Amino acid sequence: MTRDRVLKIINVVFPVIGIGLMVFYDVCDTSCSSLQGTFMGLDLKIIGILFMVGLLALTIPLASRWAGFVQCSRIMILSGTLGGETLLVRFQVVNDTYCPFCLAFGSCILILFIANFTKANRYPALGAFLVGIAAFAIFFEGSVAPLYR
Amino acid sequence: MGLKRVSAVGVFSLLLVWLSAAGSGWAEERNQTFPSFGSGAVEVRLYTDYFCPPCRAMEPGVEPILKDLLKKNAIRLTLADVPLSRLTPLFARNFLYALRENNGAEHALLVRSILMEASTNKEIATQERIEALFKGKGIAFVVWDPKFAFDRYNKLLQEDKINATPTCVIIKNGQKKTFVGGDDIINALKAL
Repeated sequence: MTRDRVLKIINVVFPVIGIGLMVFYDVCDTSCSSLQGTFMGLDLKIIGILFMVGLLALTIPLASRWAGFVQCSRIMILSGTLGGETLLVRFQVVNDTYCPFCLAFGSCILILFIANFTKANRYPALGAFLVGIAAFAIFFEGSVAPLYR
Repeated sequence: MGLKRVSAVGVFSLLLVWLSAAGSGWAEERNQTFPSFGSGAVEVRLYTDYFCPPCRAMEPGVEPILKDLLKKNAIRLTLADVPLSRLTPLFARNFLYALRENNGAEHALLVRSILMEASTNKEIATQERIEALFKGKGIAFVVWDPKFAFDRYNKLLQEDKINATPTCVIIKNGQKKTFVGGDDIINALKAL
């Protein structure tokens, strides 16, 4: 199997896993976590699903017409999200409350990033990573301990 | 009247004022309704949210065990509603409204199960709807300010570091153990 073929499979399989994780997290399993977050007021689970759907859309055959643009967009989206994920993991560490689904979702993004990263797009990737950190620093709101107000 | 006598009267008056204020606070606290039942040696704090599917799934299994443990006076049970969802405070408030009329364990568990079932109906999302539900089920209730109860819930939530539901905290012989998830909770309660 060629490297391109493996990459194509990774680019389809991991977004599907990510969507599955978020859907499963949303419907709960054995318990419901109080660890919740929003980005610009939108539930992170929904953002996560939309993000993975966007990545999946980049794999449709029609998108291959603009292969260079698509690849650059993909790596920038992934880098930006990785920047956001860095803050989300920090939030969990600081609050000593961990969400296995969120960490698994973050791992999917990391794998996608590593698989798609090339030296050629390191500068756009770095820029997007920093933008992702800044955006989450400004627009992310998380809550851990549920209390009555 | 000498200065000493005036001072003594002043101090005595202040003491009386302080004692009466403290006494009224204590009496107020005693009059507050809170979902705590039984006087057994083991303390059980059950944290659930009406809108959490695993909590609803656990309910039929955990209810008979709790009733049995209370009957044997083996536990002191506290039922704490965790405000994970937007509508939880409304449901928790109404749970307390119903307890104000009848603060028995059996009744509390009945009201809880009614509210758990109601949480699956998206139309029941207002005070009026819950009141209509209670009336339909024959549950008497009194509207009161449950701030005291909510403050106690908050204290417990912080003390036990609750970050998921259902969670059960069992304090036995001075040792505190926490169980998360329906199966683990049911097994832990069965072992008491």
